[in-house]
Amino acid sequence: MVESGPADRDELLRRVSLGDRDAFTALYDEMSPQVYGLIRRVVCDPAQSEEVTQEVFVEVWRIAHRFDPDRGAAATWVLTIAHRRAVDRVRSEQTQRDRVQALAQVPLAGPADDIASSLDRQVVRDAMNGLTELQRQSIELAYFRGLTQGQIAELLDVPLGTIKTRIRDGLIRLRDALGEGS
Amino acid sequence: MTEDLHTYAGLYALDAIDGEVLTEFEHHLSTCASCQQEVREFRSTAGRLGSSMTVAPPPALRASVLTAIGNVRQDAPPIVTPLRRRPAWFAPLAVAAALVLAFGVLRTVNNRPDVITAQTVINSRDARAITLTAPEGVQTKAYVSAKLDRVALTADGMTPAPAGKSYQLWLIGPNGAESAGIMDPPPGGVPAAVLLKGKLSGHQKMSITLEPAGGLPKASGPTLVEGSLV
Repeated sequence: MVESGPADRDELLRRVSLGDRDAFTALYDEMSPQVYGLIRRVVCDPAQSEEVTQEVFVEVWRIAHRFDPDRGAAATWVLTIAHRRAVDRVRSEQTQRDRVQALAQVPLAGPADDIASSLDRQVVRDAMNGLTELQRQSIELAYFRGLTQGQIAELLDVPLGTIKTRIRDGLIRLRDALGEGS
Repeated sequence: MTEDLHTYAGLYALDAIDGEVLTEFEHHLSTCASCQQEVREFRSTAGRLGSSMTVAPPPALRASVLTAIGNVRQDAPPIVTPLRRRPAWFAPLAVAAALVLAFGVLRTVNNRPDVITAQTVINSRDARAITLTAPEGVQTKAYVSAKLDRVALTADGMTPAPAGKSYQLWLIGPNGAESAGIMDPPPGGVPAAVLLKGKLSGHQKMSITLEPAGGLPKASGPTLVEGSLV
């Protein structure tokens, strides 16, 4: 399959907003590995991850008209929805508290183990390795584990304000290292 | 304070804030162009992290998703949708109910100058606020007014129901739970107030469950919020 660029996804999403089912199918084929991969990473359980992935694509179908290419790439828009849904699923679990405590027992894996496959792999890994330990851990716990600022502070035993600034500083470094757009 | 809120853009872009801070930041974000820009950039950066994690989903999911969108209308207005699976007797009964309701409303209007809204109940002099049991990060309060014989609910931190689902309100009495309508919280956990359908009298408890979009005549989903009204 030919790798298609961001502009194609923008165009696909625009056609989806007009009710084009073929465009939706193409968008699913393009983006489902990224969407499912991210959700699997946050939610962990495969069956729940499939449910959430389906919810995300149904939502993309339903609200495609809200996508505005001037405010970001289609891939970012879809992945923002996917992350939000994955986080909602994780936080609605009754066992959320146990989850935080269970995570505390597990050593944090390094970025080399976490980030795999795709053309971006090496670039993203290098960028993550360019962060301080606390920046990297905070960003991973927030983005890949779906933890809140308070939970991260508790887990790493660091003040709330420190988590906030480390995440922002870390994202600025990543943004500069990775460049804009997806 | 504005300076301080500005620094939440990173946490916000990673969906790592909730509750009051989230509400405050979203309020700030609506008027702060530099935060909007920063959130856009951070989301794009986060997307780069996310999109490097590709895992092929099971092939069956594709068919399931394509079937699912066949049942979903695009652009669905987020307002109350009618109950599904109405029995045949529903239509005549609904007309009768509408007539009774219309008559009732006219009488109410004649007796009292104001139509009852959630705000009327919350502001009524005899209203009592009762905190209900809710998931972490969500604060729900029931306001009961014996004088108006109604119940209103405020929910803070509650995000919109997942696609294809609705939050359904229930008033519970000796005869079980009766549907008291649907609630659609606005995105971002912004505080929302809703007036429950049905009367306070004859009910001792209320709850909120997660149901298929539009709700069901009988609760089937998980109970998210509950509490006593007495």
